[in-house]
Amino acid sequence: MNFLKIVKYDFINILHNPALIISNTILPVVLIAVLGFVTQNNFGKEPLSAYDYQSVNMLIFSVSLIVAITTSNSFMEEKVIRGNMRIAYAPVSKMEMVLSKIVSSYIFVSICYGMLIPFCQYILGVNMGGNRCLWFALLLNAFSFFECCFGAMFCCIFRSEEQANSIMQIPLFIFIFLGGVLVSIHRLGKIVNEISYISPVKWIVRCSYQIIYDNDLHLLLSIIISLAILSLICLLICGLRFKPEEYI
Amino acid sequence: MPVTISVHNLKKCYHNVQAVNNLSFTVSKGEIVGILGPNGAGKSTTINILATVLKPDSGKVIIAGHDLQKEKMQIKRVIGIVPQDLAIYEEISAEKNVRFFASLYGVSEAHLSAQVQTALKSVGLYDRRKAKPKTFSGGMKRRLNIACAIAHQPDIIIMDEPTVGIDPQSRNHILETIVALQEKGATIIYSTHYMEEVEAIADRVLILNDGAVIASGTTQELCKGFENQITYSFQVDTTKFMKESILSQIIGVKEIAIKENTIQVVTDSKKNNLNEIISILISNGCNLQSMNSEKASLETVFLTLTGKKLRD
Repeated sequence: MNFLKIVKYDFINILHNPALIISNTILPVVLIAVLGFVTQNNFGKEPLSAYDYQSVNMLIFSVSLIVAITTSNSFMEEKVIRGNMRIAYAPVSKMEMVLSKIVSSYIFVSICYGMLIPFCQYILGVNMGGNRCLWFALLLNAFSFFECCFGAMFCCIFRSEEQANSIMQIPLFIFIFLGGVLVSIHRLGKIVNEISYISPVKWIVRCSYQIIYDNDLHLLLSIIISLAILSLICLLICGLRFKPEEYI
Repeated sequence: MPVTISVHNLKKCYHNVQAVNNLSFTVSKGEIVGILGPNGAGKSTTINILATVLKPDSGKVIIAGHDLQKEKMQIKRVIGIVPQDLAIYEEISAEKNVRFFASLYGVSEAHLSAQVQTALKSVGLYDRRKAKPKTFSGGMKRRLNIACAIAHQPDIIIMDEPTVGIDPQSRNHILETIVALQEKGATIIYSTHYMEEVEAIADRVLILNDGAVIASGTTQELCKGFENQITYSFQVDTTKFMKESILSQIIGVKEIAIKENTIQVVTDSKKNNLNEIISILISNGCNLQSMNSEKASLETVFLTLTGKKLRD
């Protein structure tokens, strides 16, 4: 199976990129530590400490911003694009090429965040819902897959990693801003609050707190289905827009 | 020899620029065909079409009995591409690079190790197989680029300027590798800017200009019409007082190029006009330092036909 071979080598290429490893592992922890420390006076200790709050928010923030960039890097980063070009010459279908980048970066970020959540819960001692952190991990995982597809879609549309990364950040920051992970949206008025519901990040944040603090899973399934539909739309656009000769 | 590649009336247009214009040629099995052409002649476009990554606007291409429009995957399986850019992963060892790319062509695990070894040996990189390409010199990377294209033992190898920017030793090794591949039965299309490479290895030469073949044949055949042509190059102390119009009056002189301290005169060798050329140079204030003469070569043919220097 060529597809699995390409996924394997794409994954190895990601592992050779220290920037991607650091951004998906150390950076979220640093953000949690710094923002938790800075905002600790605004929080009590129970039931929600600054570190509890920032952990959930910063993990969602990292997935929102960094995962899509991870995929675009594995797709068209300078060091790998020439090797990818040879895949375009080989008997490999174009969807195999696109999917391999998405799947390899998805596996990578799943491992990273799959380790970060128990690390935060059991080593740092922040509240990720205890045993319910598995549900939170599942939610974050589905969101990661969507972000991978989103990153690949931008590469297919803009045909260069640099352009894709810079333009992709605009909708991502809008989603993050409206999601309220960096600043509280409800203080900005009713209209902004209403608009914020278009942001997938808002729904992820809401569902995460429901899972962790209310043991409420009622949003989880609908959000996962919505993310799956959005991922499929991104994949469809990839299929329509990707041309292997763009590697040449 | 049976025809392995047949290109008929191929056309490709980019943003209103006709990159390939009614291009037609054939390549026989086991042949090395050199493709020459100035920048923008359509060489890379043609190669990318043959490599199946670029869709032609019209025309018919048959490779190893497969129609390019309908049987892309079958064609991909029988060709090996050496692109102009280094299509390798810098962070993965040379051996893993070759193994990975060969495996994409369906080489079985049982044969993979042996074929990877053969490919690395043939480009002289077997001893450095465990090293990462990022530690290689430019020439070694170029050789690895070739190993990645030949490890699956394709019947047809298409090379797009595989020796750009490398040292003479590596270039020589690459040329020897290409000849060895031909001896094993491979059909090779070799695009380059270097005339001497084509003269050294190609059985036949295609000269492309403005997207079409303007001449084809063996080097001898191409030079045939130019056998009475000779190029004199004079090194002089100054060319300040020399004008092309003065030399052009000499019977038999066809082309004149004056630059810095060199005067180049292309003339009909049958006219025996060397004495006259020299005396005009001297009488116009050019003190001769040295001179040499060169009979018509592929370069003469190329420049005469295309009217352009290779690197515009």
